[in-house]
Amino acid sequence: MVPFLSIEIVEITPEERCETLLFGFPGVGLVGVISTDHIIKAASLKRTAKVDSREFPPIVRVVNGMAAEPISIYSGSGLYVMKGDVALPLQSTMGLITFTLDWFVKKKGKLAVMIEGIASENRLNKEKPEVFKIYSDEEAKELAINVSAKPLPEGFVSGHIAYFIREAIYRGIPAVAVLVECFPAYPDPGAAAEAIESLKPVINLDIDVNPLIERSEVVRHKMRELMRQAMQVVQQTPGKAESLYIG
Amino acid sequence: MTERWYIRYHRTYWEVHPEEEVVEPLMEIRVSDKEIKICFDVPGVDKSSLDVQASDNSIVLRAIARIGGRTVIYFKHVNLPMEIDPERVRARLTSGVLEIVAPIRPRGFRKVSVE
Repeated sequence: MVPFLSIEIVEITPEERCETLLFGFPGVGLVGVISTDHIIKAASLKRTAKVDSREFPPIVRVVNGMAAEPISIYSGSGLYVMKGDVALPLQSTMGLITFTLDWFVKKKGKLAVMIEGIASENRLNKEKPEVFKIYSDEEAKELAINVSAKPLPEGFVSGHIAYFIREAIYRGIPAVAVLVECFPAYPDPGAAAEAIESLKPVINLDIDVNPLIERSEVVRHKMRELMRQAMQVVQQTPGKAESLYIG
Repeated sequence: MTERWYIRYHRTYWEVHPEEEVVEPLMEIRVSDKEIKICFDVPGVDKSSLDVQASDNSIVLRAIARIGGRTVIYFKHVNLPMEIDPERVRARLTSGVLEIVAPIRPRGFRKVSVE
């Protein structure tokens, strides 16, 4: 049961209609956050809306002495990107997904995409992690057939990815979840780079991931605290990190 | 002994390097029947600046890295959930992730005669 959350999406730029919405929340390996952050910077997307709720945990992101909303939507080149800079409890994330998908329906969006990591014990031995995808329906498959990832074989997913897919099905929004193998407990810019590569055919942007790889050490160091927050949330998620996907 | 060493080391480090950032690395521990595997996230560290000490029931990691023009000191003292054999601990550094594998010392039981 998802509690009713009073969430506000306040658009701060003239209305823009984009066909694709990309979600990046703090989760396993921070893959969603790192990849969306890189896309926003590389494609120079503009912050188009701020998202907040009184029911979110009392955490404020501070940038150069200025308070900023914990979650923002960026847009440009036909793409909305929602990036979360704090790790919300699962219930809040679920409320946020519901609210944002409703907002996306009003915007007449065509495809919702969520990037997330799958904890892989063997990640250390893999230079290129595997990327998997889950379609919400046949229409999503048609739209995202070119995402260079393997369809996830039989099994179960849990947590906010499962909720995202189910809510998209319920609303009839084509959606695809892109899942990348990553380190279970550390930020993984390498996995985020693979996620971006796999999504290029859908987002229609030529994003160079090399700067992300080159700044990998800085990213890992800076994101330590967010990773700690995210792990606390992941530990409370049914199925936990290691079994986010059960094959 | 280990605790005393840790406190002495930590104090010394702060005196020698007061200007650097000392951080606790992210880590995970996996315990199997025969060994304990600990992974530390230590971006920017190379082998030469890494020091790992093992005792019967703890692991101490210290390392220095240069990240984005800043010096970062990693320090972590891990109390292990069971006794290990410190002589047989192995460590491997790959892409800034330090993996330590410590064999668990089997518990020795002997029959106690009841008078």
